[in-house]
Amino acid sequence: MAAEELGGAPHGEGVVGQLSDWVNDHIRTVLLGPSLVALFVVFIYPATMLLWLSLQNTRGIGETFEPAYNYGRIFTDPTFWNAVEKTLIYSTGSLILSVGAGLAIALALNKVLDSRVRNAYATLILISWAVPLSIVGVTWRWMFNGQLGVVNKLLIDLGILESSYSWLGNSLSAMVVVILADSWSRIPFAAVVLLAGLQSIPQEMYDAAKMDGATTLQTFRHVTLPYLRPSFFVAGLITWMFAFRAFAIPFSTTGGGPGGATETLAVYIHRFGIQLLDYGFASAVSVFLVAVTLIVATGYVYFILEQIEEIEV
Amino acid sequence: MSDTDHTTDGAAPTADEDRALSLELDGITKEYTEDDGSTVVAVDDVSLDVYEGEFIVLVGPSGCGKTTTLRIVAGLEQPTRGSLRIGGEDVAGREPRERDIAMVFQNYALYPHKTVRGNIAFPLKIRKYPDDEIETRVQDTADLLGIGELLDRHPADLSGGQQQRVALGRAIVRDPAVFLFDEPLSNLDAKLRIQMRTELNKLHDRVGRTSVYVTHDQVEAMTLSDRVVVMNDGTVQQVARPKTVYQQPANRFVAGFIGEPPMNFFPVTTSPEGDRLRVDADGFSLVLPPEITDTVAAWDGDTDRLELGIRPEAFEDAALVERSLAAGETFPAYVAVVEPMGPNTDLALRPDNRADDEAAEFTARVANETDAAAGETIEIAVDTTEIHLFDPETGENILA
Amino acid sequence: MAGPNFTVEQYRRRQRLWNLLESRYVVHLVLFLAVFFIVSPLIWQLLTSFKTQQGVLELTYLPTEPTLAAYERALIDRGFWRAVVNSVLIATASTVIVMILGTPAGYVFSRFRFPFDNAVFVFVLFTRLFPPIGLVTPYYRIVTTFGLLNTKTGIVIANVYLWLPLVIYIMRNFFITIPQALDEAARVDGCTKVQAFRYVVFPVVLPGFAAGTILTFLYSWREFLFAFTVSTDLNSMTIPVATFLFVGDAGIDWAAMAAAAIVAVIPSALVVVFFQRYIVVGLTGGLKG
Repeated sequence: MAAEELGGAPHGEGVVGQLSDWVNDHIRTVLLGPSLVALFVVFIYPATMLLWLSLQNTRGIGETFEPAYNYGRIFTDPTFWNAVEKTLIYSTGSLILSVGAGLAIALALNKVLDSRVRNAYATLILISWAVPLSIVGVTWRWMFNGQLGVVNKLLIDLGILESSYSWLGNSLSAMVVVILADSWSRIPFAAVVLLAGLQSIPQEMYDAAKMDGATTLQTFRHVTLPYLRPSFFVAGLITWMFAFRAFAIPFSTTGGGPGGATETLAVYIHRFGIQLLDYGFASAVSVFLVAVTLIVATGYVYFILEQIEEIEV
Repeated sequence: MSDTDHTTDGAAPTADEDRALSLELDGITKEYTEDDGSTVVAVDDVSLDVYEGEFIVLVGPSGCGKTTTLRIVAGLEQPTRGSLRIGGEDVAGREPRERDIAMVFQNYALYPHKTVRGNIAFPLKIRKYPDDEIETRVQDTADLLGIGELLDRHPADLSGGQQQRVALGRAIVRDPAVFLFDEPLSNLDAKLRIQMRTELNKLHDRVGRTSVYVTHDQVEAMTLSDRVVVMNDGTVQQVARPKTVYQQPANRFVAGFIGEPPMNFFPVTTSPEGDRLRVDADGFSLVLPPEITDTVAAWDGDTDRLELGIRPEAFEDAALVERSLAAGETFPAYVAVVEPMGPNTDLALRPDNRADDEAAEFTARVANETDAAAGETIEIAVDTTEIHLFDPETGENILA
Repeated sequence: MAGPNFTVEQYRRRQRLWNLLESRYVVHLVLFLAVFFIVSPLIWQLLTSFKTQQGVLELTYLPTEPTLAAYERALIDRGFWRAVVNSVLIATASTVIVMILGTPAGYVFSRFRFPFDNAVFVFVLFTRLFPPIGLVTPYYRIVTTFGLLNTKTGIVIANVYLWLPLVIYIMRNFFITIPQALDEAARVDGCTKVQAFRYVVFPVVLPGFAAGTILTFLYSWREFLFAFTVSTDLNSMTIPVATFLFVGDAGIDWAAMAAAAIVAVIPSALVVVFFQRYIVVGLTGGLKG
């Protein structure tokens, strides 16, 4: 072929050609640059401000630089430790319910052979994941409403309850309700991740176990569970991490009440930062929450990396 | 390797000495910086002239730099140093699309979202050829490769051999100056590989374009090439016609890499035996013919200790040799394993005095009439005109 | 292996119990219960939304006089139809921006080496794992400073922060599954790097791109924290925020609240029904190494 058919010259002609050459030579900058600039503006800027605010005393009028003030308050404020306790109960409860129910659903879905039926179930189960988080809250708030709620009505009609119970007015039952609401929204994710894990188990493993005379329970313990371990870990950690920082569901279900009984750290931060305009203290609590999450996340990332190596080897 | 002159062996592949140069690599070097900051030299000062229409095969073990060299020619990687000319033009800094080349990839790299037709037409479409010309060219190419029936299928619906043909079609449709092949047959099963090898040979005869072909398979290298480039550790070990590479390997590496089963090596000491040269290995001695004796005498290095190389084919069961054998041509060997291959039989032997030493084992390929049985000792004969001697320090072939 | 103290009879007996547990009755019972748990709250909202204000107080399961009046009160009387429009605009704009920025970025991380590439990627992961609640306080101040309080722009910017790192990560994982030889073949065939992306890599990654788009849209639609922080004004608030605002009323109009909730859920549910496969791919695609 003649060289001129190639578009010949090593460099493009004219402004368009030169521009195209420049783009070609700086492809990484052109493709990645905008994202990094965007992340810098929408993340680095507020994150830096967060650190700065956490060092300011904003309790009274105006701001004064008092680095130890807010962090000192954290450790002396009993409501803070209440929020930590509620957050731990909330996230752990949601983790157990979501992953437990998710596992049951995944195991059952994996047994459904007809893919249309399986997809139909999967679709119905995924719906709660797609429900806006505040809608989750108001829905459960409405169902467990003391006077008009359908749960009370149902339990009374079934003869389980004598009279209406104020679910959201009692500390313990309010916590149960928000955990249920939270799990309701998280179960689909856990189920999907665990199902993907189940489906990645090679059929030969099951065949080999059968050849070795393993019972179903033994197969589950020695084949399914070991293969499922990474998915289990991923589903569990992500569920826990996101429940740990949950805001919308507890906020819209109970608003943190009654009397702080369901006030997670996120709701606590929102109360001080947005409602009471005590930016400094809210920021200090945020830094604490971020630190805890990142310690867990780092462990998680290391674990994932190790898992990848294990799989590759 | 620039200090050795055997790399320039076989300057022109045919009598046609004044054929134009199609590809000129001059001192091509590629260095990578590792994550820990250290530098790895993948390609080390490679120089090579390829003539118009020549089929060149780069062969070597994995990691020898052959694929990197090919990718530098393609423009997919830039050399750290050195210059590269295609069709006489320096292509430094040019994009692959600005070089007149086409490439066939190891895993075919077919575009899964395009039909066979779309795949083959793509190089023409992107260069804005007129539609009617694209259509004729695609049809002609498909017919040439016998895939005319498959044009409307997608790659996922094709067999490995068919995908291979589509990949070839996408390369030849544009009729480029140079074809590059990156281990194109390595994903095919053994039978198909041999078939495609023959077809590639025919195709090259018909299309007649300069081709650079990378493989780790020495049989492909020997059967396809006009000249073989043997590489190791990023450097060129030898450039020569296939027969030369086999018969006169430039050094111990080439000798050991080319040939199957591989050449046997024995450290030897030398001493005069009359007017001949005698070599003593651990367990046997050979007396070498006069012409080899002369060549060794003319060698300007130290020749007291050498590395003796004997190809399995240079051995024969002494009982089957019809002519009378002299003393320095045979020695007793313990038979460890007998592997009948059909036309001949491979024996795993050990010098008789080291019958219990597995490390002393070497391979002999003898006629299939042999009566050798495992556990016995036989007399093995060596064709002393076919032996090789290497400098133990540099690995250079003293006789080549 | 069946050892000496493990007879065929024992094996069969144990197996029979498990066969029962594994039978399709049990499987479908589990799935039916799961579906009931997932769907019934939404059914209850749906039933409530068809009731009259009086009907809600009557404590019946089914609406006695089914009516769409609650939808009228929520959408027209309170003007929450505008929140629906806002939600659509905000989710669409956020998705477009995030996908346009994130897809090429994911491609770069899947293909190119550059100085500090691993550090930059860890930074992206870090922004993903950073709890958004931590940024709410400074973000509120920034939005106030720049006059973005009660604007759609303020919410879109927050969505970019929330979902861009996720999309970069997901798209990178999708791009990694495409062999690099495909880009190289395209370049040898005559493409510039941009053309190789446009004509070859992008069409191949399209299912992953679709998954990323659907996921981003749903996440933006669902979002509450930042939308609520930036806007409770009819000009810019989203439908999840609008629905929540019923909670603040003295005497809550539960039927209207349920109607607003149903309006907020319908688009989500439709996306799930039509794109279930993509969502599953997206959710699990965001997890791989």
